[in-house]
Amino acid sequence: MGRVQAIRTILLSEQLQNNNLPEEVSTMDYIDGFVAAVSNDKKEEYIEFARAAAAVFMDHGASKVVECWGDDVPPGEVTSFPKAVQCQEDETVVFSWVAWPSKEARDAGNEKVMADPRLQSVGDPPFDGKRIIFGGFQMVLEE
Amino acid sequence: MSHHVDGFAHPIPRDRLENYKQLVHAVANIWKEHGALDYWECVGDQLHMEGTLSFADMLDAKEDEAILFGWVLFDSNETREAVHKKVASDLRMEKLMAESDTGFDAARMAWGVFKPFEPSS
Repeated sequence: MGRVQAIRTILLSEQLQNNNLPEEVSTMDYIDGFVAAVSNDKKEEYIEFARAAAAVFMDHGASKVVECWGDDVPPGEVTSFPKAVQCQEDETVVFSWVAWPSKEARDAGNEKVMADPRLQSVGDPPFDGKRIIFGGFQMVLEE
Repeated sequence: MSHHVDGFAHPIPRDRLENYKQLVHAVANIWKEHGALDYWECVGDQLHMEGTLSFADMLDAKEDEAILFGWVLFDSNETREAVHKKVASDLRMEKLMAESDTGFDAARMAWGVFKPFEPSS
């Protein structure tokens, strides 16, 4: 069990003992997950873009930003990441996530990120923004 | 040596999500016992955002299915391959999968191997 999780458990058990448990207690981290296709010759550009964007996300409350460059992403028969983002031969699938301490922090943080002038000045992302898969997820397990 | 990640997404029937969560706890411990550094899994909450593609559409998920998104971290690709072999031959895995009723369908899973980096560090 991570330290943060342990602290949460203690806080939660204290709240239970005090019998003043709020209706909605967010004990899990929140994750924004992304999958996109990036042109191989734009890898360095993408890394620079990711660095600039990550700094903005972290400033607005994100706990962690992780970007993963595809190494072996099979096309699959029924479903696959490359199919879903229509990955071309000269492109690579990237798999990324932004971790937030809670859904509330995520909603507020994303709003600030969108309004942050630094993100505008970074310019257009070096990938096709129409082929990005995005989703918000509640943490089930963090081992 | 560079870290490697198995990244994946798949659907699970909502009425069996609690069974699946229990299975994941047990499975994650086995992966870590065999050398995975970390194991995360999270469940879809907001899957339809204007202007983006949806994990639900990608997986052709039905309304009564939840979307799981997760990743497993390894210290290298060599470790990743070795751990996969150990997990695949671990009899506890077979027993867990046989005894649990989660509706998990490997054929409907999207997955890949990735090299992670933290752009903010």
